[in-house]
Amino acid sequence: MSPSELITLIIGIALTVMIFSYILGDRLFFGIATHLLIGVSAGFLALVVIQKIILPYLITPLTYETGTGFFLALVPLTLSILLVLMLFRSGTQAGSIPLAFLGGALAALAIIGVTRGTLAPQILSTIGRFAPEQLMHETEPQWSAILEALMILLGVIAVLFVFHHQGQSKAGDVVKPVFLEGIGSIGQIFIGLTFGALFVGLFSSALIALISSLSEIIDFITLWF
Amino acid sequence: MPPDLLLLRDQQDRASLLASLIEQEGRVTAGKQPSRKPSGRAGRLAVALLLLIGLIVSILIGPAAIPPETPKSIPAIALSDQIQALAENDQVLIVLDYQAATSRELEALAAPLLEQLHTRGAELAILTTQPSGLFLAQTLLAQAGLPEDTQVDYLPGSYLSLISQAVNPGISTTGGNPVKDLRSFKLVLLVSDSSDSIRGWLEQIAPWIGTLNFAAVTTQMEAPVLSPYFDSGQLVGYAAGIADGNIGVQSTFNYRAYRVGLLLMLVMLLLGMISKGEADAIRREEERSE
Repeated sequence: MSPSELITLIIGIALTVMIFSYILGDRLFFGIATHLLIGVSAGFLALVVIQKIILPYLITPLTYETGTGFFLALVPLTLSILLVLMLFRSGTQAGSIPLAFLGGALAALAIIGVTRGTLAPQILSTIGRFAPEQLMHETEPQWSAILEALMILLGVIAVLFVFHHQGQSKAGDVVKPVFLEGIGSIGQIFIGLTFGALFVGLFSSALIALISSLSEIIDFITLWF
Repeated sequence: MPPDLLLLRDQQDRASLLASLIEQEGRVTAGKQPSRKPSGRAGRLAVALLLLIGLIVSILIGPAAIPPETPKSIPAIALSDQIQALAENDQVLIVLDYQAATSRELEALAAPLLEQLHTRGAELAILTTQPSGLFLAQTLLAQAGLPEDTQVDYLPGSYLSLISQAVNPGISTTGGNPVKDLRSFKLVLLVSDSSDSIRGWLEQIAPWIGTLNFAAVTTQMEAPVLSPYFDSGQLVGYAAGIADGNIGVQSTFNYRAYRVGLLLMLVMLLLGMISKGEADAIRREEERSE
């Protein structure tokens, strides 16, 4: 192990132990470790942004004497200057122009993307499960495929009804019809199962990270004995 | 009048209450003590210590690799098939989009795949969408046995910076955009700890380029969200979780500790559910008696 690797390992283990001190209710060492992480990340991010974004995308095109590149670079330059003006009280209104541009563009992209990339393919996929070639093998019905298709359809419909809040108003309370309540309850079961699966995954990911860190610490300690 | 001589039960109760009140007249009685809610700190500490001790003991026993017969998931097999189907010199775009916290899990999954791609002679273009990916990539490349001088480029804005190129291939890329022609790739392998990011690629880039196949390597937590995209064919495969990274010779990760950790948490969850149920029952009983 080279000296630089050893120093890096010691720093890593020290920081890991500082984070672990949160279990004992410690705020000081945990705070130092997290502030160090944030500070280093912010510094590194600033360097990368300057080197990989501002210089190649903004400054370099401005050095072009001719061509559309120069004029195209004026657009982000102007928008950036307007954003910087938001730091001053008098420039708040001007800063809303690039923000509005950004918000509008992202909203349009999100709507198009969700429609083309998720909603339409997922609906088609659900419908496709009821295609005869999926449910029948020669002349025999495939009961497992039929059951799976029905369960998926039930899940989709039931979960949609969980978010259906329309109902009759009685003395200030919105009362949903009984059958909607029933389907909604089934939908809640599906949502619960999904959250359960997500929780297991979350715990599993955290456990893998913990085991890796512990293994490294144990390997380091056993190195000296 | 003695209470026993009264006819009705409630008359007897009232008489007994009156008798006890008269008996306690003039005595000093302690006021009602405010109930102190347990902070739960001791419980958390016990759970953490139990988990740590269990894991440390499991690691100290010795290395334990994943059994080779552990089955892979269907999406992981599909991903493997896609890689096998690639020909020499086929271009593959690798997008690294993860943070240090999940690097161990993702590197264990992605490194064997990168090695496989490299062995098959595929031309790899590696991008990172996060600044920290520039140095995290070095570990991944070393694990995969790729040359040290392999170029890793930073893609600011992730898929958003490629939309114009995806929509209209005639639009020339400006500045230092590392991707010159998105359509030249056979496969895009997204190594990401965020299903939102993977969904972004599938929503914003995939619909415009029908010939481009997308695959993913992600954490076990994000896998359930990606499942519908695999079912609909938008993802040709994905790998997630310990079993999907099993290549038979993995010795760095202690599988025994992983199983012990899962078992301990399962026991603790069950105990927590039982104790919560009991506490709720006691509280309801107290509310009813009041």
